[in-house]
Amino acid sequence: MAESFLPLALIGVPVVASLIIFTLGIKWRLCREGAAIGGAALTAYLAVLLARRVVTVGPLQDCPLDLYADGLSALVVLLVSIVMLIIVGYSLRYMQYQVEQGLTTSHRLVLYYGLLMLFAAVMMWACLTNNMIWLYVALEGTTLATALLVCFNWNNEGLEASYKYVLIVVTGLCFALFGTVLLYSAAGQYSPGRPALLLTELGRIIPLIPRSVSLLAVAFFIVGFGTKAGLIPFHAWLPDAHSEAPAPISALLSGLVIKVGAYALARTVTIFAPHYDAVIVFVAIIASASMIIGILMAWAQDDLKRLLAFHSVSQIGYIIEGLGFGTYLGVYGGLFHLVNHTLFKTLLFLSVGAVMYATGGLRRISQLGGLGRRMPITAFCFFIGAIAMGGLPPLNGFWSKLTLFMAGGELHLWWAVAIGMVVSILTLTCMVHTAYKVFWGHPTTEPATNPGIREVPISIWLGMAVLAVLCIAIGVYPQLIHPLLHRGTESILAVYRAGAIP
Amino acid sequence: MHFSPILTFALGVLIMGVFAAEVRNLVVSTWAYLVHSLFLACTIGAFAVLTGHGQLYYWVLATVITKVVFIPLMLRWYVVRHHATEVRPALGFRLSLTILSLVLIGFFKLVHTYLDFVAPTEAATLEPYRSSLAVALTVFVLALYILVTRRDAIKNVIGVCLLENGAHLSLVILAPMLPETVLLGITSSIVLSAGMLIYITARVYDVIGTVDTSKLSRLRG
Repeated sequence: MAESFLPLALIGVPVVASLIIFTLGIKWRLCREGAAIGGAALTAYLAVLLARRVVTVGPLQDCPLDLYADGLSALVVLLVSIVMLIIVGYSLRYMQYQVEQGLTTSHRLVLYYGLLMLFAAVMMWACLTNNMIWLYVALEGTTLATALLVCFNWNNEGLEASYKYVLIVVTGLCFALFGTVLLYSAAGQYSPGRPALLLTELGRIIPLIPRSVSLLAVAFFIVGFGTKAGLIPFHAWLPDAHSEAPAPISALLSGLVIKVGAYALARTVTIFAPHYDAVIVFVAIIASASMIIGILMAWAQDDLKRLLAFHSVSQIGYIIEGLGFGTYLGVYGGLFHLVNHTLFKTLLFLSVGAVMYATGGLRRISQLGGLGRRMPITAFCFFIGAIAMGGLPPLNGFWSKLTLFMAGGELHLWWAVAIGMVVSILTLTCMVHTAYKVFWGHPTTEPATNPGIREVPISIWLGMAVLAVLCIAIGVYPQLIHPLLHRGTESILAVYRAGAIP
Repeated sequence: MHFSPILTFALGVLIMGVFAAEVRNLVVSTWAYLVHSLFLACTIGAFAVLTGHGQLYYWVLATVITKVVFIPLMLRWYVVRHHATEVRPALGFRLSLTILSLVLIGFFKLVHTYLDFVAPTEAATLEPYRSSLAVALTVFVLALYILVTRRDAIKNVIGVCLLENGAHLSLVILAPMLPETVLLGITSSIVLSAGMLIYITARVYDVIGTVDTSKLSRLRG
């Protein structure tokens, strides 16, 4: 019985933490930083409990408030809470430094940590709700919670990026709401007496509703959740928001915010895919376009954060492509890449943050060089992230991409596999090239040659080191995460199979 | 013709939406948005009377509180404190109105004729649902037109509000049985996102000094 309150606790803990921060954080530091790290740590602990429960026993049903936890929820919740803990830990020193630099004031940190915890709560809610309309509301909530974090420094670029971010994502999500309404209405006649459309019921309902309505709803979901995920051509907000936010928030956006879009797609479009071949091909086309355009744009960037942002556009293509396949291998690969991308992209953004911390805010590749000798740990972390994203064995990115290529082969979509491989090689070369220039090349400008540059303090590199170790560990021993991925994939397929039984 | 009030109100929603989109004076535009939302509330109220769904009265109440009171108040706060005339859009007034009218009439005709392909239920293809749904989708297109052609940041925000109203109307037509908690969630997310956008736009104006989105292009490239 107590277990059925676990999802509620996962949402409640960050909410309480954020309330403490907003009410008492202005007076005591302990109620600000302390509540944030404590809330994040407790959430992570609860997420581990949930994951253990789901892997050993099975989905957690009949929770209050339409909450529900299956393998996919547990996987994403665990990932979110761990990355959240690392980001909060990283922020402690990083944001304090921003205060020392006069970029912000310690009073405003209340807003920072409060919103961070609020974001954690809506993120948990999005992953744990079983009601389609609440999913939309929670997604909207993640946008609103991060909007003020993107423009946290109140500078021109940040404000502009934040405006663009909210405008585009809210517009996109309106489409998702429209799709939800269509589906809700169509489903209403097949489940009389039920006030809500449950995500787990979707599989049963899809074969019953007309083809044209299904396809229209899928199109709306792809536009809506694709905007949130940063898929081409709805990605316009992504590079700006990622590059102008403070470094921990960039990591948060790339690591978590766009993943919730992918999660929503996995809950909706993936269930449709096995019924309609057109959906698989359409998603593969749009995902491949995302990969290609993302990597081409990334090559053209001089700003490290924008470069990583365009890589996110490119990598999200792999995730969505896998989820769109709708087969076991495809979904497994998509989820695997979702986990891996969160790990290495958070790692990369935090490493860039460390570089900015050490050099006093430099982030243009042309201004940097030769940092490897003075910042060995950061250099190592960045390099691990870079080759993991490039898909070089034995790191984690290799396995997920391999799974995706196998899934594409299984469906005979050889063109998609070929595009994925070429983009992967381009990613690797781009990232190694960047790492070489920043950490081994010769510094060309005066600030980068400053002898005062040295390694960041342990409170900053510790989180990065944990992520780097996770990237290596999953790469060397993928079985580490297999039970959760298997459960996650099975939980999606179970929803789909419910519709296959006549 | 017991449903004719619904269609009258729905037509009001559409026409006031166009008015809010096209008029250059932002104070007038805000008022037009208010009347548009009032028509929306009336449409929902008429549906409530027609169908007898008790929940729809809550929708009316929520619409009045959020869209007739809160959002126009926030818009007014912005317009009075910042600037009352829209940044000149890409298209001139007459040209824009002509194109918009043609697009909307064409789209309405199209949707009204072929609604059977996309209507999720049998009932949605019958009047007055059919015309109202076509109006909801047309408001959606109107909002997208604003987002594409306008350069003024706050006009784009009005566009987003209209977009949400289109979705809102379709929600009422297609899913009148939604429970109150869901209603609360949707309306609060809509109000919060509109409020957040207005607040950020005000900060953009304060810090950067312009809300011309064609000049807000530091980040491109």
